[in-house]
Amino acid sequence: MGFSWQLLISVTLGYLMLLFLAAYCAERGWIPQNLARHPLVYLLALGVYCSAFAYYGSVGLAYHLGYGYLALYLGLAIALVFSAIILRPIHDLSRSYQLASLADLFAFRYRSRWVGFLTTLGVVLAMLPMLALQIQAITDTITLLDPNTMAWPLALLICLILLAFSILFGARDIAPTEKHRGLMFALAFESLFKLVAFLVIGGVAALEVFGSWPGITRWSQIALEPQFQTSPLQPVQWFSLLLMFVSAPLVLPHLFQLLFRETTNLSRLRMASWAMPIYLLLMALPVMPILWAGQSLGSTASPEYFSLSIGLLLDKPWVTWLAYLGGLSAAAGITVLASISMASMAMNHLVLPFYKPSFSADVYRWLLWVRRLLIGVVIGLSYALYLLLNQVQNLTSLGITAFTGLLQLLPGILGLLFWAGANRQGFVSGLTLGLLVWAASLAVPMLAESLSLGTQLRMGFALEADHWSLTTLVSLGINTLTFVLVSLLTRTSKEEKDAAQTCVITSVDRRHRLPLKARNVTEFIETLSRPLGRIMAEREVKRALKTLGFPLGEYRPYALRRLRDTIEANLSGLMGPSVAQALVARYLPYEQGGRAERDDIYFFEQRLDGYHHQLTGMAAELDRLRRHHRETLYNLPIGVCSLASDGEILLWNRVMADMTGISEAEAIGARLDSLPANWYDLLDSFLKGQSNKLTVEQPNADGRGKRWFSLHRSAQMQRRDEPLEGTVILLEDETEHKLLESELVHSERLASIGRLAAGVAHEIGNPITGIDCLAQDLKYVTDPAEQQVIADQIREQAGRVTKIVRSLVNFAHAGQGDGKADHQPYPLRQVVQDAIDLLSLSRDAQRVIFVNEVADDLTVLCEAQRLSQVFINLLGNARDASPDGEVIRVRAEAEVESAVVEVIDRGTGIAAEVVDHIFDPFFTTKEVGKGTGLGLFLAYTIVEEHYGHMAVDSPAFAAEGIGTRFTIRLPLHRLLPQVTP
Amino acid sequence: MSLSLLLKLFILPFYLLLPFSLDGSGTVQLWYLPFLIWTGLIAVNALAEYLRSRR
Repeated sequence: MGFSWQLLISVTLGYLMLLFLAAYCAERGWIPQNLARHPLVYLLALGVYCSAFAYYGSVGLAYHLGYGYLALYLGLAIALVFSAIILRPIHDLSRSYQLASLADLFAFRYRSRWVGFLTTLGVVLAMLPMLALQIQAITDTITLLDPNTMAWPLALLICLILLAFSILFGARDIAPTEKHRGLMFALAFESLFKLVAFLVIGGVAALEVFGSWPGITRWSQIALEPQFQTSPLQPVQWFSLLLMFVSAPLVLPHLFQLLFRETTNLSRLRMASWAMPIYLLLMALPVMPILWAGQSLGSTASPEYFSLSIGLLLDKPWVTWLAYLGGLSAAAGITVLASISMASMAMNHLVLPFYKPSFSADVYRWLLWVRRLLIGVVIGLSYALYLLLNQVQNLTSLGITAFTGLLQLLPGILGLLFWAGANRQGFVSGLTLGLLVWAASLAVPMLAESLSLGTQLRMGFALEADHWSLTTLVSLGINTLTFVLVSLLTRTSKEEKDAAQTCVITSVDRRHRLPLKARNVTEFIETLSRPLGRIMAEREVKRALKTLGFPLGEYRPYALRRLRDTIEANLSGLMGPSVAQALVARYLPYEQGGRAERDDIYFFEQRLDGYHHQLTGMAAELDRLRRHHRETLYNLPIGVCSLASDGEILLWNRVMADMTGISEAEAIGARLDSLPANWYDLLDSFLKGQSNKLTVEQPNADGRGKRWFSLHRSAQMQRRDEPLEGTVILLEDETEHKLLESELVHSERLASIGRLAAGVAHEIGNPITGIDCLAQDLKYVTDPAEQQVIADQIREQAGRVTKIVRSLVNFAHAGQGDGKADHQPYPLRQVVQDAIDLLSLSRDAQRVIFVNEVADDLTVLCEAQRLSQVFINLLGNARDASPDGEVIRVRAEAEVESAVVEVIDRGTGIAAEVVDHIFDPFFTTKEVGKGTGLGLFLAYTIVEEHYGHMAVDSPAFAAEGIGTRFTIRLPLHRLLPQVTP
Repeated sequence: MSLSLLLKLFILPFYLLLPFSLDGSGTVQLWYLPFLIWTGLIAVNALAEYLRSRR
């Protein structure tokens, strides 16, 4: 059967239309989602790696290098095996910072637009032979089938169709996270088709040519004969090839696009690492049978096209058609995807850094059309090179030339992933030298040779001359050496060091906690409106807020820093990292102002949480310990708040959130002054105060009632060479404790009343008796004047009773009710005297003598009844410990801002072994039933409530070894001086 | 070092020397030997990935 070029073009167009249809149906959602988004679609789309170079060229490689052709497949398989080390970090970086290509990645890491420019230039120069190879493969096969075909118009037609395909399915929208579902489905379709086609051709070759298993085994023996075998595979050739193809997933722009941009689902990358090698194995399997079948049948065509010639020689047109369409699939897929990804690179690194679009117009539309134009430029350049190469180079030469050029990017990638000391000077100088060596020894000679030759080389140039492996190793060696030496000898900028922390896999991204000049979202929009225009600025800020899940009214410094990062990442996805970094650094700057740079602890911790599943061994154990401590801190039954020195809240645990009613999400990253007024006032005044401990009342959030809180603080430990970081505040809810304490005070007061009861009865009994006598006398007195005298005496006695009862009632009720502290200026002497008066009601009152030596002019701000409880307890204890007739003195004097009160007795004193425990609750040395053990505890607590302090000294009279001295220090209340006119 | 990484490092030399496996076997009649070894390596890698996913 003859193959006319008209028929071939019709079938070609028909097949490409089928790909169009598949892409269109997937794009429109006409294909069920569970099929269109099946992981297998992504996996098969990765098969675009097996381009015409693999489909045709691998047979040529096998012809020349035997099993050396396996490098094409094993290289990618090895890279996928170690995807967790090589691909995963780049996947994370690309996703986090919207890096669309290798040039974006390098520009991000080495912080230079020239790095992006040089990388793009290198990728375009190296990829053009690869794309020209695809066009040549299609035209070669058509001219092989119909020698009368006019190759260049046919190639032009195919290029135009592929251009339309690329624009329609690869540049329909501009968005930082743009995905091409239709294109992916079409690529999966073509990958499946070419795999099936290749396997079928391999099967036909094995069955039809060799007849049976022994036949092909016999032929494998014959293939060793000199006329079939040129030279055995040299290790240097093998490892050179392997180097090229191991780096393929990183340096090939279309594979980068597929692996790191078209999916954010990490599980797909994980699946690819074990499933993709199966696809590669199946693609590699038919190569040897096809080669041997071509040789066995005596094909005169280039070995690269044996898959096509087998069908011709066996007179099986369907095999030829299958081989042709498989090759067409392989060539079309890579051309479309590579042109899209290269256009994106070119726009970000060749156009936008040097040409600023007008942002008053619709910039998204402008970006879209520039990208479409650049796709056209890439395909146009590929077509031009195809014409220039004149179809004389074999596919293997073109492929190896392309891969050797792309290999020059490998040192930069390794530096990016594993070496924080790498810098842009090293990268630029290494890559420049590597590309120059590559161009001088491979690219330019190939071009010159193509211009001078009139007919196609059978297996010429690179493979015949065998200098490709030398060129590969020499160019890569010079590149790497220059990269390392220049990086070591030149200065690495601070920006590069920061970027290295983000990129190097042994580092964790550690951002600094610097304040931004823009204080809220509105200011973000306003400042970004200047370079981007109002519409784009608003859209980008809102897009970033939506991604982060922050509200429009966000103001927290932490949230604003994340907003800035996300805007930069999104702009990077639109315009490339160079433009995005420059724009954001200029319009959303940090306030430098000589502030020390601090780690953004919360961000740092979140990054660590993101990494923890990747850690193994000791690192995993340490991380587990870190998380354990974090959880412990978070679940402590006490509120914990960590504050940076600038007032930013770094930690706000669960109990803190419960007690304050401010959630962790609201508090972390906010400044203290943005908390609700009551909490800001409390925490701020505590921080500004001198005391490390404070007990305060705070109104409840619902406005009903109050709660008591105890605050403690501790300065953060000073790290080496770094000043203090901030403060940790502990917040304890003391409400229950306070209520209980209040109950205890009341109980103790009632106990005191009980102890006073007998004395009270006695004290009341005397005036009552007097009243009784006076009442009896009254019956016999008739003189009105005398009656008046007796009535006055009765009233006087009743007044005594009333006074005693009132003082008791007052004492019993003091401090009760709603728990409000009612501090008023009160003479200290009177407080002491009230206590003495009450104690004097006791039956034992006559045993000791209380002497009040407190000066009249000492006034304290106090709740008098509660403070008198202190003296009742102290004087009561002193009386119990003192012998009959002994004097107990209460002295006080002013000392600076305090009144120092001393209660001194000459009793038995307090034993040294118990003196440390006397203020403990329920501690008593009295007999059972005589003391509750709460007296001194309450006295101590009440003094503290009055912002005072109490201490004990026993024995007070050291020479005699007797007596106890309680010293109470209370803040004095000073009246404001009178202002004289 | 995790078992999955250990397995991957273990199969790496086999990948690197796969095309020379035929020289070692002494006969090209076993032309399919590299593919058999490769299948085994794919299985080991899949096992390593399975172990990694369980961690």
